[in-house]
This record gives sequence, C-alpha cells and structure tokens, in this order.
Amino acid sequence: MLTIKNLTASYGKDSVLENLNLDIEEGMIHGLAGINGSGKTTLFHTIYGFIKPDAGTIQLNEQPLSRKKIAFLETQNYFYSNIKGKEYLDLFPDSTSTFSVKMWQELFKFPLNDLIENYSTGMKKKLALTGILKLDKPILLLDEPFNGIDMEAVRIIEKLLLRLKEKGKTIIVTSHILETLTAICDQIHILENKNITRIYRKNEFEGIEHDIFGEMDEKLKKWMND
Amino acid sequence: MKIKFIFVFVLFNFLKIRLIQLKRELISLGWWRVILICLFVILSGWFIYKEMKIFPGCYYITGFIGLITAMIHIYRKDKIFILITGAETLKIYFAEYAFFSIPVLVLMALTIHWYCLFALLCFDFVLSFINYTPQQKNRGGYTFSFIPKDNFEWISGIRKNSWFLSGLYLLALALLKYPYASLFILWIMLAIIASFYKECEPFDIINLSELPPKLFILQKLKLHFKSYFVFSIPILAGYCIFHIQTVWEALIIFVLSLINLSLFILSKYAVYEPKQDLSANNLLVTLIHLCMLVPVIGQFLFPVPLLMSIRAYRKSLHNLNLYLDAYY
Repeated sequence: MLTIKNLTASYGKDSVLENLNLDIEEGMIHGLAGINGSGKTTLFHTIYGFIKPDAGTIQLNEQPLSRKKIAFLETQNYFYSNIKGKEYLDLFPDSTSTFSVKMWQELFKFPLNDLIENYSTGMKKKLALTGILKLDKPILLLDEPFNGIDMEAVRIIEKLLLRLKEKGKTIIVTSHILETLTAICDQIHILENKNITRIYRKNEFEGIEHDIFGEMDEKLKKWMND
Repeated sequence: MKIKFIFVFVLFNFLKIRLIQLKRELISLGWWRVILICLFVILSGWFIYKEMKIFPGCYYITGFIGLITAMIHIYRKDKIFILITGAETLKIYFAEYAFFSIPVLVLMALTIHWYCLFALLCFDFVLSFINYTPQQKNRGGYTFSFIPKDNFEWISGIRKNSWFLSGLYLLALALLKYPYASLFILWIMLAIIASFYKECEPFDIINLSELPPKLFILQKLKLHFKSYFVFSIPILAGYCIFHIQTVWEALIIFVLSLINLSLFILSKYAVYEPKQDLSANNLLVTLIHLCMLVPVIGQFLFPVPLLMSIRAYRKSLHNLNLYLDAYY
C-alpha cells in the first residue's frame, strides 16, 4: 500500500497541496482527476521526490518511498536536442528481458532513425513512455499520457496499462479526458481545493460525470437560457 | 503618423525584451561571474580598439563582427514569433543588430573608420532581408561509433557541428608538420566541444545512472575523458611523431584540455536544472578557455580552470543532491 499522510507542498509561499491524504492500493490503476492547476503534477513531483514536502509522509508498505521504485512520465516531454529516437531509447537500461524495441516501434510506428525534434507531440509522448517502460519499475506515475496521442495509440496505451496492472504494477494516471480514466482505472481520485475530496470505485463510475460536471452543467444551462 | 508611432512602440518593446533577457541571464549567473564577463568585455573592447588603429585590423574586426551577426541571424529561433506578432521583421532585425553593435560602432567612429562603420551597418541591413533557417530534417543519418551510447552530449554536439568539426579536424591533421598549428586547432575544437554542455538533460536521464552525486560526477568525467581521448589521440600522436623533441607540448595541451573539459562538465552540473539552457554559463567557460590562448593574459589564466573546477565540483555535489539523493 502506498500511503500519503497529511502531505503539504508549496511553491514558495503558495501552497498547492494541504494535508492531503491518499491510500493507493498496489497492483491497481488509479486515476487522478482535477481541473488545471489543481495540483496533480505537484502531487506527482512530490511523490517522485522532485519537490520536498513542507509536511507529511509518503510511504510504501510503511517504509519511506524511494525514487528507485518509480518511473515517471512527465506532461511535457523534453529530449536532448539532435538525438535520434533509437539513441534516446538506448540510454535506458534494459531492465526487463521481455522488452523489445522492435515490437514497440511496430506498435507505435515511430521513426527511430529520425531526430526527435522532427517528431510530432504524440510521437514524443509515445517515445518517452517507451523509455520509462524499459525501466520496469513497480510504480508508474503517468502525467497526461494521452495528451496529443492519436486514437489508435490511445487504445494501445489503454490495453498496455491493463496488461501492466495484471503483472502487478501500480499505476497512477492523470487525464483531462474522463472517459480514458473510467475505461481503465480501478479507482478515480478527485483532487480539488488542495486535497483529495472524493474517491470513486469502479462500480461508482456511472455517477462520476454527474458529480463532477452536474453543477457546472446547471450553470451553463442557466447562462445559455439568459 | 499613427503607423510610425506603432512601429516605434513595437520596436521599443522588442529592444526592451532583449534587455530584460540580458538582465535575467546576468542575474542567473551570479555577481562574480558578471564581474568576470564585464572584465572580458572591457578587455575585448580594449583589444578591438587597439586592433582597429592598425590598418588591416579594422577589416578583420568588421569581418568578425559581421560573421557573428550572420551566425546569430541564421540560427535565431524567434523568426516565426516575430512574424506572428505582425511586426515588420526587416526593421526589427536591423534595429536589434544595429543596437547591439553600438559599442563596436562607437569604437569605429573613435578610430575614424567610417567606411567600416557603414559597411557593418549595410551588412546588417542586407542580412535582415535573409529569411533562411537551416532545416534539420536530413541531418543525422550517420552514427559515431567512437562515442559511447551514454555520451548523448557528444552524439548531439558532434552531429550539430559535424561539418565545422570535420573541417577543423582535417586541417589539424594536415598541419601536423608545423609546430603548434595542430595543437592550436585542437584547442579551438575544444571550445566547440564546450558548447555540447550548454543544454541540461531531462531529469529522467540524470536518474538513469541510479548513482549518488559523487559517483555520478566521477562516472561522467570518466566517460567524457574517454571520448576526448579517442577524439584527440590521432592529432596528439601525429604531433608527437612530427615533433619528437617537443612531445611535452602535446602532453601539456592534453592535460590542460582535460582540466578545461572537467570545467565544462562540472560548471554545467553546478547550476543544473532539468531542461534549462545554460548558454550564458557556457559562454563564460568558453571565454576563459579561449582567452588562455591570448599572449600575456593567457599565462595568468592557466590556474583559473583548475580552481573553478574544484569550486564547481563542490557546487555540483550539492546541486545534484536534490536529484540523486535516493541513490545513497
């Protein structure tokens, strides 16, 4: 169990997360939803140890969580300039004997012998994802993995995440598209007002859209009628 | 009248943005580096002034400044941005180049080289018409077997500067017979290699080694020393064959090169932040490296890279602690 207790994190004087509590069950896919600026990326950065929390603890099975156990896919992927796709993947050690670059290339259709700066946004995302999957870490933090990706690749990533779950990986994923989360997640955590305010289990997903957008839909309806 | 006013306003804003960018770069460097840069600028100004008084010197200086401006213009990345803002690109470019050439133009005026002054201004004007930016589409079809796959800085840097470096390398080999020439070119090539370290890699690449800061730095230095050794050995060995009586010159250059290479690497990690561009920081170490060639001043600069490397090493350990603290 990954346990986050009373976590407070801030950028200078601006606190982004306040006394956040979250229990992440292992071997499941957890969705993290929230509006822009709600603190999803900050939470990932704090779990990854990129931001030192002002207060609180992050533990895996009652031991402090080590970065060694985590692979992190950032929202915006940055690559060193003048590097080819293959050279980028070669930097990542082969931690799993079953990993095949050729298979991934066929799946995602990225031109590995081209310079990465010539890749589209979606291609870059797929390349970055392939890189971190090569690391074979038990916990995956995926910040907006579906951004800029074509429909075919979205389906491949969905299937892939489900397969990784079967293999016992713990996956935390954020997305702006609620449907992509409901399709693959076992739990969806709503991050608002600097904290996790609601948790939905798979059998509760039907009402999630109404819960999140209900109030906003009413307002919109009223404004449009006016 | 109104259009003219808008143009002046836009132009003023662009120049203001440039000055703000310059100020930010200087602030990011820290005060002692700013003092060093100011000293270099003053020394360069003095050198340019001295050279301009002599007959062919003014032509060389004009050509050099023109070449630098042309390189900046061709490789600048904001051409589309300026176009999108709706500003008159020709006037913006010309105003920027003329504005930042003012110190040189003043020196030209002081040394009464009006023709050089007008030639430089005309060149800036003509340059502003050129809208060419080199495309990278077809670059990178070759591989560099001598560079280890972990040395992404060299893979990237050599690919970016392949033509220039190849030319210099061949020239160094061709001039092996002449004393100092090849060593001088090797030194210049190391200044290009310095530019390989101006870009900060993403955080996940740093993390791949899973080593604590001290071991990470040592491994990095080892890897890059190895690449430099393989790169420089044909020239150094050739020089030793042709100048057997002065083998020590090649050895000294090699040792000094390794110290300077350490400085390039360590000064990057001393201020490392994922995805950052460290051009200003990189410029400073490149200037120190190049100034070591300047007669008289160069001798006094010999211990500087070593002292700076020691300082940068300590700062690197501290700075990398944030990113590699999980691997103790």
